[in-house]
Amino acid sequence: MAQIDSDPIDPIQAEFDATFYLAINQDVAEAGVDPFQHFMALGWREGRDPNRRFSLAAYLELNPDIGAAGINPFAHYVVTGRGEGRPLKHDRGFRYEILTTGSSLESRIRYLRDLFPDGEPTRTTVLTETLQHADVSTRLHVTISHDDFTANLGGVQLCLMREAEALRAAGTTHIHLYPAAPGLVVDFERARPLVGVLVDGQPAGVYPHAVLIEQLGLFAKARDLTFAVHSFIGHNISAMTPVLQSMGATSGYFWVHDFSSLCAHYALLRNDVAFCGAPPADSPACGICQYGRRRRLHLAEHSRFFMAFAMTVLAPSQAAMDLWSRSFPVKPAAAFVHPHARLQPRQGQKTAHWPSGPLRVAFLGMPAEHKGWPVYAHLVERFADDDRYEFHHLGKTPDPAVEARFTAVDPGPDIREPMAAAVERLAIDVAVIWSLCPETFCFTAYEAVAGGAAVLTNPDAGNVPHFVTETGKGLVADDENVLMDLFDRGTVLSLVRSSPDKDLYSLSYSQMSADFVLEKTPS
Amino acid sequence: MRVVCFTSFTFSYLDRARVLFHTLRRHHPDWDLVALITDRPPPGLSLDVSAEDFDRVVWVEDLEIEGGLSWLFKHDVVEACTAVKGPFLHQACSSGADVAIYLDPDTALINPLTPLLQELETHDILLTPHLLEPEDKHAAILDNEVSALRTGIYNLGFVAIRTTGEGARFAKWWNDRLLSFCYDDIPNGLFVDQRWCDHVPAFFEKVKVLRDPGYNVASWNISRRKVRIDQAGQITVNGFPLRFWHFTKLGPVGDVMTRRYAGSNYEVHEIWNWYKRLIARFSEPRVPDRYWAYANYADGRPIQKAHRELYRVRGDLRDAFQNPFASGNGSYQAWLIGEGLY
Repeated sequence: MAQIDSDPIDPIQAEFDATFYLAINQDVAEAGVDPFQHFMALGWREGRDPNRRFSLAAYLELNPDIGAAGINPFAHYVVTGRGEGRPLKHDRGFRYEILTTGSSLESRIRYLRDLFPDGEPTRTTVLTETLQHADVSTRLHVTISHDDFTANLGGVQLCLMREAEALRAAGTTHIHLYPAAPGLVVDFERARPLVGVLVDGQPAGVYPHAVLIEQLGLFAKARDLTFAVHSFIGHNISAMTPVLQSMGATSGYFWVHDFSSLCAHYALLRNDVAFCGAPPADSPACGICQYGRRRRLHLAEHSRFFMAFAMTVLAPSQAAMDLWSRSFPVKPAAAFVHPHARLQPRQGQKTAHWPSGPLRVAFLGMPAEHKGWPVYAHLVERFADDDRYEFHHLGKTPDPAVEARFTAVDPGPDIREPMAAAVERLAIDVAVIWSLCPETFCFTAYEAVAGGAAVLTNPDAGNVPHFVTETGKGLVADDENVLMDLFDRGTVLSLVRSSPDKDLYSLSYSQMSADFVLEKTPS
Repeated sequence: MRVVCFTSFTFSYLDRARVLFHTLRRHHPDWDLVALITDRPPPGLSLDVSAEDFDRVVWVEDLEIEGGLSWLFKHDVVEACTAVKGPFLHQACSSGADVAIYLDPDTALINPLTPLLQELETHDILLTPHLLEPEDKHAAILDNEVSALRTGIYNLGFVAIRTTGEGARFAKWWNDRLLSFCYDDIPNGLFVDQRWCDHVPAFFEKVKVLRDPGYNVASWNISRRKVRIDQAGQITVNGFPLRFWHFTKLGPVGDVMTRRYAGSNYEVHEIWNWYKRLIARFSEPRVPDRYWAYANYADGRPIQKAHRELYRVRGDLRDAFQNPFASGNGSYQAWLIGEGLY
């Protein structure tokens, strides 16, 4: 005779994850109440999940009779549903979630425009005086990007800092132009767009293009001018063109840090879910993509700019250059691949021993969808109980919904390669760098290898698969199923730890456009 | 080859029809695009054809259907909009066009329909079945196979004909049947214009049942069709270019069926999202919700389905009340009230 559990609370409590519950429900943690009691009394009715693996919403959608009965779905699953073989989750994948819950491009653009309405310009005299006090250098370098690189942190900003440092060291005056209001795409809709100005890294106000034409035109006279565009996102290109022309510019550099010159989605992620390959703008794929209409605009605006100036295109990787070259409609004056950094054998300790115990697998950086976080989350969910593996997440912000050991890695001025140092310190064996869209360079991959980890990636991740193939430091898996299979079969174990020691590296950095500008105009 | 392509709708479906014509115009700028409308514009809206993607409007009155309003009254909105397809197609055969194509207003093109014209070099009638292969799950058999047995093997959201030969003979026969029997009456073997076409492969020669999975993709057949979007920009269904999608039941009902059968084929949701964006773009705020000019009596009170059905079967009522939409003394509505039927 089957035994009836006299106290069915026990098995439910056994599967309840109090730590997870408190992490995602700050209000419960702050109230100081018992998390399990809270869940049983209130939480399940409020849609608060009991552990990482059980979604109340998914269980109810798949088992509508449970919702109709008004009972605790988690209790039902543990006590009865599992035995009945009830389905726990949909198998629609994270892309379905993005497509059905994500906000549209146009609504995000409207939101940003409302959040940052056209502001008031700074008094022109501020710019006049700032320029009067600028260096007396005869060389002037102008850069254009999507933001104030001294105020925000990221890959492009770090690149601009290196460029600015190198120019300053060579005694060149540096003016940086950025949109005063941030944008997601190239702007053509703002009635009164303003441009932020940095002179030698110092803020010098925000101005309409007409003021820049007048002031910068004057300032550029009798100076050797060079310019480099790092990004036009947020800028009105048609309005920026006469600014450069007023300064006497006829040629410049254009960086392929991303693919915003090809499409309104800078990373070529069709409908935010899949790398599109930058097909023809009139293709069916672009036709159904929410970025398709603005793509034509991005292409047209950038093309006009390339026809107005003799542009030298600089790409940080061959992969980025190849993709850009085959998709951009105007042939540039010249094109060079100029990597942001290279791996250098370490000074001093060049190798480390492999750790013992389970394979240490890590995701490095921001847990964002386009960086492949949902794929990693799926990997962790599937193999979290597998003794062969230990899952980590190194970055700034943890995701409590994923059962990976989190280590805070904060990019700061103290450590040159903070991620590489953390990878080395935690003896990470494998970094899963599963970007859904092409990386033009990917410092993360370089830092992973510098810290001694192998890289697991996919063919759409741009420079990452090229880097892995070139260095032999990792593996390119065809798709997510192959990735799962590598872990299932344990093939990934033989990928690393096959030699007695692992290699460690440092990174040596380029000076970005300065490497070309300074070579062109020797002091 | 002169092609006339039409859809049939009321103002409630103006947004959908506009999306269809937008995609048709893009892929076939030279086709004669016709909006067949069984409705009257709602107050405050006048249709400016020069601002639309179709070339011309044919109103139901233009078809000069015998009985006029009396005939129309016998039909609810779906029955009326499907019934008029027959007369239009039949009349198109003497309009100078070489080919006539019908598409439902809730379809949209993703690739050109040019291969159809090649098929019509050797065939006179093209039809698309709801399903191209058997289902293998119990729920899908009920949802899709059994459903098609009730409503018709072929989906009449699409039909293409040569305006001569067997195409013209089919159009005449369909016209005749739809004028008399275009009702949603599944227990009696009728499902508007669609169930009739189960007869077509037997009644007519030169019929081609299109087995290309790129045509007429819909929630009822995506369980057996895999949508892919490649990096060259093409969208394929089981390896064939996606020609047109049938966005049946826009809204929660359609979403449930799409979710049920798309599985992890996320590209299906990309296509639906695209359609929903276009609908939002082409929406017409001046059309009241569920508007149909022929939904009400002259006094604005709704015509019940039972009123239409009674009028349909009673010749004496049709003789007595030749404009059954009228209100007031001596009207069909007054008669219904007097008989306690309203």
